[in-house]
Amino acid sequence: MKPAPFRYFAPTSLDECVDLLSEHGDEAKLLAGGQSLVPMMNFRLAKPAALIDLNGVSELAYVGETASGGMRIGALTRQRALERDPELRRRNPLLAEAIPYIGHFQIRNRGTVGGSIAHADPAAELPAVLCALDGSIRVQGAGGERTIAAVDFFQTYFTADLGPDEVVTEIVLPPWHSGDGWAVQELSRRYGDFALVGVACRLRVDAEGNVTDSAAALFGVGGAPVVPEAVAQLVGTRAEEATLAAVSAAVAAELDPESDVHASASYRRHLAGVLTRRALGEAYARANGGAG
Amino acid sequence: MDLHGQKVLKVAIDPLWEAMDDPDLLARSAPGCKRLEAIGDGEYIAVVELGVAAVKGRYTARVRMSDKRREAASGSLHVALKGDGDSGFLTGEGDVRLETVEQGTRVSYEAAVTVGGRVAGVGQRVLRGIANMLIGQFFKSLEEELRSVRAAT
Amino acid sequence: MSERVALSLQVNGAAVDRDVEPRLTLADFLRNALQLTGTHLGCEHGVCGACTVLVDGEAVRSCLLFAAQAQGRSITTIEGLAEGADLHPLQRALLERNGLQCGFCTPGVLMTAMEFLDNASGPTRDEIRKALSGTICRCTGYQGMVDAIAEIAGVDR
Repeated sequence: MKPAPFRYFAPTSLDECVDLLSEHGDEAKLLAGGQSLVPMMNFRLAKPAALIDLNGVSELAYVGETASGGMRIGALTRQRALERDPELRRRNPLLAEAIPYIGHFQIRNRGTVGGSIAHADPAAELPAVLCALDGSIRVQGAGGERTIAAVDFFQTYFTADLGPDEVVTEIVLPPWHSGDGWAVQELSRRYGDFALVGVACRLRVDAEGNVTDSAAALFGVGGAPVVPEAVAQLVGTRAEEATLAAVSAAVAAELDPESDVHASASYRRHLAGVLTRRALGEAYARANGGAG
Repeated sequence: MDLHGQKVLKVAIDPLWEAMDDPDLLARSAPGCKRLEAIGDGEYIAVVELGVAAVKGRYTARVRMSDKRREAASGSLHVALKGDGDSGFLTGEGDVRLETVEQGTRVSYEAAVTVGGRVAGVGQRVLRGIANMLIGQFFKSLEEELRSVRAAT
Repeated sequence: MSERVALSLQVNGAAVDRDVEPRLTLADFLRNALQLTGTHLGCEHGVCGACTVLVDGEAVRSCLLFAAQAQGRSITTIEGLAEGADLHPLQRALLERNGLQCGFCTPGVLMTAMEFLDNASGPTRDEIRKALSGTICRCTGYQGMVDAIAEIAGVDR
């Protein structure tokens, strides 16, 4: 058998899960979809003494609405369930566009929203989408419940503002403003692989075609999603070619990506500029009544 | 794998040089360092426990600092490292340069590091980023340690 | 040494009851406890796709699921496709289109295609290629696989 032995717990309620976490804390890992944790266990890189299997906590699998009309998505919601949700493209088209980029469909069949958030992989799509959309993350622990803004939650490589006795319970997205444009651009070596660089963005445009609001987040370019300041320069423009070129170059200049075996830092920075330009152009076209 | 980076620490260069010979201070500053034992001639045995994602490991390393060139406002030293633990091994060496600047001391490093074993196979995508992050944490803690020492005296 | 958990599930339509160690993956359970060695293990970290099986009709990596998590589920493996000596139409199409050579990836390709075909209506070749992107073949390439799936999906030209 590949993984090292562990004590296995299968709670059926969130309360039970929180109790188990406060009892085992640092020695325990939470198992949701298992698509990142189990590989590490199979290699015995991760050897948790206890595994708390969340899959029976069905109260965490839901897609709901906030009082203001935003979305609440339970941590145990499978990525595939969102992909198959016929309402998602209307309720949050940026999220709907990002989901199919997560791994392969066999991975999304198991992978969960909360797992992707808690794992905080620097190349993951969902953390960046949450940062671009001013989303937040709700967590629960023995000390009670906390809500953390996504931009504060993701700290660095695989590190989030989440205590060893806390569990991510849901993500919260502000209401989608109908008429907003959106885009996700990502490049990976093979469809479904980890992003070399990706960008998620959202734009709002007034009746004259002037950008009134812009937001973006990049992933794969550092330890956590990067929310570039330079996208704000689009506001007040009509996203002309020259403006897009200048803004995406300024975004790329803000980044400090790392080199790895797949791509050098300078290639990543170049790619970030190209993808940002494409994404902003696409989002503008959608916001301005183009193909959407 | 080549590592390089720099950081300006808000401390003067002299206490930084002294810190290089202070195992207790180095141990407090190094991320996850459980024990640092001087074995003489600029050489140390370090026991480090690190956890990134679910990967937690205990590593033992031999660290050697040599070729110190200490001048009034600048200088450099050579660091060699060889370590292993239950999920991989690491060898590397490089140079650290110190230079007095307006805000304090600029620390820059350049190193060639080889990481092997399972952790390298699975973690290749993020190894360099995590290595630079840990080095950054070390310098940040060192800065805080030195500033708190100064504040206390 | 380790605790064991009671496991009851359906495998290829038959009820199975066993006690297992929690750390036993579904892949190892199928291969070692049930001797269903048609499910292949390649990378064991979810990349190669060789171990893909259907759990309640969904294609999943059996190397990344603990057997204990399959409690009450219905599993279909490659052994569940053919009826006696009669190959499943998808198996026959793959054979006729030369969609396999060494055969190592084939079980994963077939189980992946089973779910894909259940959900796809008139897929394009590009969609078929995307669906296959999570299964790695190192000998034939993918042309024959795409042809076979297109044939079964009724979009063969």
